[in-house]
Amino acid sequence: MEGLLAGDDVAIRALYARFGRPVYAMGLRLLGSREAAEELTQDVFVTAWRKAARFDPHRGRLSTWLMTIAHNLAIDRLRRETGATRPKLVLVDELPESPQSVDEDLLLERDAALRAIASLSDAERRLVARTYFRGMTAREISESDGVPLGTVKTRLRSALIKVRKANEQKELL
Amino acid sequence: MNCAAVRDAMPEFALGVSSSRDIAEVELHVETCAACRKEAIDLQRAVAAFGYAVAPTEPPAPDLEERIVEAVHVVATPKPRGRNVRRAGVTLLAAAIVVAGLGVGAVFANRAERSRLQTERTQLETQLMLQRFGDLFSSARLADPDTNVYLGSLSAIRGRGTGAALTVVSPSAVRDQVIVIVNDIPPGAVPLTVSLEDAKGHSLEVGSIRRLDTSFAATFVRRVAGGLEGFVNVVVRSDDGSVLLRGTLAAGASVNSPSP
Repeated sequence: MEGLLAGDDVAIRALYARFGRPVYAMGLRLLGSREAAEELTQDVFVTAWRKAARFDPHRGRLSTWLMTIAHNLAIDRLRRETGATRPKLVLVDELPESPQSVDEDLLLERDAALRAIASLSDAERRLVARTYFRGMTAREISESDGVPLGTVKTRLRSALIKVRKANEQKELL
Repeated sequence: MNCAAVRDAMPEFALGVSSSRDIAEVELHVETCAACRKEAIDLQRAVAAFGYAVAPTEPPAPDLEERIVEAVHVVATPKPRGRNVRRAGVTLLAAAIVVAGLGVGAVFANRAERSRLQTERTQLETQLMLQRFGDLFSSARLADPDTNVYLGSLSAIRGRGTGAALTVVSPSAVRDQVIVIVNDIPPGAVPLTVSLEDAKGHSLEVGSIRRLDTSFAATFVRRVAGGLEGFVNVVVRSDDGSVLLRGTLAAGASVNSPSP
């Protein structure tokens, strides 16, 4: 991270090599175009530089930190765009596989993520996906579904804790 | 926010759909509350799984890596040397003295005095932003001798807020960039829309600032295709469409190639 703070080429390229593809893939799925995904990826690394001094490895993994930045920026953009350019709701198990080879670490990370998400019921997955992939707030879901706001928040929290616990079990193995 | 309120807001915070106000309050709270900080970390790790679960796609454009390296270089203030060190040092020292003075003085000052001090601080922050932009001129990454850089400060039309903006305009118009830094923005004003206008009244919306950091500031960087020559007026609008900040950029420098 010191290298990133200094704008060091090697550090930036190393970060890009490790995280550029998943950030771009997320951007493409959420924003729906290559151009928007590339802009997002660039913004993520610039934002990471701005916030690099705040990153504390004792408080979380670098991958989580970067993916959080990426998702927040993508949601910001998604929410300000109109429905016409908004991609349809996609669930993770509906996404097509790419025929191209990708980094093995990334595949392992993805495999672990899919197993963690598999711990959710269909309803929980759909609920989290509406927030994660479409940027819907708990209030918007509450009003759309006619479910109390508190219930939506509780269900979201329960779902995330399930995923987290499934991740913890994976890490213990 | 107390712990209960923070826990209530935490799922949306982790999922990135909180309001700027909630984000600022949750981030402030978790700085000092270990239990809520652990909850935030746990939920953010769970959310990150959804990002990794997205299937890999076709690779991005081959030149994206170079564009990213260049973008980080553009916003990363190079370490000043020689005379710049003294200039930056004196300015920062002056800033520290003034800001420290504000901290003590503001306690005793009456309303008019506080207002005057606040104005001075805002002006100082703007000067520091402009100086930071000035340092960018010497960046080796802006090494095209034909590249022009335009910069200027942004002033609040009414109410709070300050800012500075810079455009990098190249003859080929393929690497034009806009950088805008805003500060002391009212949280209710976001998302902000950044537009550039030319003397003929043509307007070019270049993007939005949707999120402020805990200091109610944000940095906006956007690469623009199509050329920015002539677009010297910068307008930042608040969520309701009213003009929040406005400023005119001037040709600050031609960026020369660095000496070997």
